[in-house]
Amino acid sequence: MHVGHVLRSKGGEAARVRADDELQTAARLLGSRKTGLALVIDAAGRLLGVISAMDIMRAVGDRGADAAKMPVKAVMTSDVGVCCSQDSVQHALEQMVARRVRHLPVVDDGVVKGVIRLRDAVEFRVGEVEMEAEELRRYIYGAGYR
Amino acid sequence: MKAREIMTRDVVTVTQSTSIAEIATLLVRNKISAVPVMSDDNRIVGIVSETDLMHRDETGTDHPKWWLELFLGADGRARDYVKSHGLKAENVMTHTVISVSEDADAANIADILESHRIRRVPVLRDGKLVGIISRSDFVRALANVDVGARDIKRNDATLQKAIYEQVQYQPWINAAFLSFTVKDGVADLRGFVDSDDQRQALQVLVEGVRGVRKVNNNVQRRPRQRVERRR
Repeated sequence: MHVGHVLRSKGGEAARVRADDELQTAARLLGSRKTGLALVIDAAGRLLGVISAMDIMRAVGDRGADAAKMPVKAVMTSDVGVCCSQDSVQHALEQMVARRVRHLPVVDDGVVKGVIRLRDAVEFRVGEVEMEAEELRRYIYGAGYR
Repeated sequence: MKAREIMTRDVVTVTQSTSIAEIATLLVRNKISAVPVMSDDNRIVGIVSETDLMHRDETGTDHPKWWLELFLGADGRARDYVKSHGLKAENVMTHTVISVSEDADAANIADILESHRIRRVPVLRDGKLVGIISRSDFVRALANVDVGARDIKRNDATLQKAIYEQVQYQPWINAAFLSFTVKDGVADLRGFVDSDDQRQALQVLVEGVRGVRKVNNNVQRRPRQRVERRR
């Protein structure tokens, strides 16, 4: 099954900010969306980086309340792993594990489609594995043929 | 910024003898990822996180909260397993708890969370637990910073908005049954909550909103609903 399938079934649009937005705007967005990550995109919808609760924590640690006025681009992470809708869920999972991240932006032809979360990907794989097991059981016991 | 300015004050805790089934329920219901474990004399002796619960599992998988949900799921097999093995907080908790004081600087706390690769740190005053700080508390603190007008008296409408925002962030309270008005810096709280603890915690929360001079807590405990059972 593909990443695009998980994105569709999970629906929720990823939080997005612009590189020149103030950090406080990003913090408010993360808070209201109850998420730990927002995509940083340009006017054309291209991915410039991501900003996470960890990035904000570092900025507040360094600058205190003054961090509120910093631009998102000053603290965002720009070296981000991505996947595309046609990638397998397994592939996306492997990337997240290798990079030790819990989210992976989904980008098709340079345009951001959303974010796949570790949790969603795992949940999906568990479902698949259970289905495979069930099919095996049926095969072995001949159920469905009677 | 100091620990006391950003910490979450209302901390869900457990005792050493709390079963891990109960802990799993607490984590999921309160949408939190760990609970401090308190001794009989109210000292913090450990912390149980999702990860600690995960290690009880034989699958060897990493993180995911879906595990916790399976744990609470309809068939309850995992729960039965745990019950039959009688595991308690003290069997799974992490003993070495790194903590900070109320006066700890945000910079140090950020360093501690990062360098120890931990996701939250308890805040102590004279050895007693008064709060807990995670990454999301930094996010919330920054979201609520009153930029540029920090020492200027905030007007009533701004205060009211700030109170609503604060309450909205709290997983332990349902803002739908509450209303807040502010006049001359005095906050008037009305509506219903489920328990006296919630009522008290709400008061502490609103008192902590910068610019609030006084709190009139007119919040009431919601009367228990009687469920009519049809036979």
